[in-house]
Amino acid sequence: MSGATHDYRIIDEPQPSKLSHLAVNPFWILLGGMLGGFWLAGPWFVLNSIAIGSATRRKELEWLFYGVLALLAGLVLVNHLAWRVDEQGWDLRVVRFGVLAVQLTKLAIYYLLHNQQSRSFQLYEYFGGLVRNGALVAIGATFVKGYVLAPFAPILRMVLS
Amino acid sequence: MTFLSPDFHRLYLQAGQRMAMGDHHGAILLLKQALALDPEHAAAHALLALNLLVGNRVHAATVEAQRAVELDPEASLAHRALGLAEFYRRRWAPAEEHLMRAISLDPIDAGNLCSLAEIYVAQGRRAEARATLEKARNLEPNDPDVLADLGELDLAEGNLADAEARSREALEQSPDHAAALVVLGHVHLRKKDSESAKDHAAWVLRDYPNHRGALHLLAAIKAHQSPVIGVWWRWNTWMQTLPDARSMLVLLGGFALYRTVTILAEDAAYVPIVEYGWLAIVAYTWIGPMIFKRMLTKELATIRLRPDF
Repeated sequence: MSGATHDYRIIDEPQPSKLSHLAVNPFWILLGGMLGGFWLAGPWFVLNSIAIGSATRRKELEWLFYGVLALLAGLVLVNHLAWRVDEQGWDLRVVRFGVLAVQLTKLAIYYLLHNQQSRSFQLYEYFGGLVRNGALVAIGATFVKGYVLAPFAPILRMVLS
Repeated sequence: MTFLSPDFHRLYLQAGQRMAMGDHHGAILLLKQALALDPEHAAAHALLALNLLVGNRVHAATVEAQRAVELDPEASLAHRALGLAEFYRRRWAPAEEHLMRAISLDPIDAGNLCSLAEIYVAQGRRAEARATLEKARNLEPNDPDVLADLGELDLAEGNLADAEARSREALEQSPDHAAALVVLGHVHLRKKDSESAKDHAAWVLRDYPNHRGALHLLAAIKAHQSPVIGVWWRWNTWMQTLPDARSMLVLLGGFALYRTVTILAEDAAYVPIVEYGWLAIVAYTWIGPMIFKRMLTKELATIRLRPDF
């Protein structure tokens, strides 16, 4: 065998990281987002991206950044709709559609990040990377989210939940 | 001209052999070693790109193919690799452009024509695909790859008799030709002969345990045998043909529709039915894949235990 085996690196091959022992299947993060909320899924996607040495980390961070901007825009929208309902007597259902838009934005972020990270994760797993089970964190988030979100204002809670 | 070490040559040739045997992982490892010795070798980058594509590593394959074209813009193989990489990214125009270039650089390579036909098929341009495959057939009348591709096209058009004839012709030339066996397996399945279809899948898997077409055939057989789980498989297969953004829109569209109905008609009597229906869909799409995977794993284990495997 040639000693140069590791000299040529294919661009999508995961790079070893000090946080590799924290790597999980991105599916658990997606589930964590659905059960717990954005407060958990957002930072967890970033941590996992570092842990698996994702080759698309930059792209993932960009999407997360744009996602947060979209969520903030949603926050402003819902706030504005709530004001219209209070002041101008608009139908309350308008606010519920605003909340739905925020929910859809969050789901879109989870879905895109999950799909993107899954490709790197499959390679990470293929090359024998250590994988932890994220089920407990994802399911546990359902029970702790109330405590985590309690200090925030209701409108911010909607974005983080 | 660059001097190539005997080590490079040996590794490059072995990689080509591994690729021909369907061992794409082995080919990738050898090409990595070869490229460590000579990172400027266009054909090695192109071959690496083709092997990466088999594992659906599209981004890496595109980078490798671009490097190959950069290093040798007159290499037909490099343009073919880049054309196929663009095809996997569903960028039809550049894919076609690079394959046309590959054909113009090497007009007697039937493989380039087959790849171009694949792009036409994906776009639903079946008449052009057939004309291109017929051209390939004129160049290589007995090439089993060309015959199997023609069989696949016949199958897509529902011409079972022609698909069977073409795949049998291919198998006369190469009795273990994986793509031809898969086409023939699908023909048997369409004729409701699941056992023969399964035999064909097993035949391919015996030689290529990870052959995507054979695994897909086996999944189609299981879906055929179990209609309830089969619905999930057909849905999933269809979703996988869509780009990420579009499949996301389909899923979010479903959720948005469900929520819109419950918001607009919150007091209507049918709302609980809609909610239970949505819950049933969520549960089904959660459990369906698990059951299907278990069924498929069991089937694969049965196949591997067969005395002829």
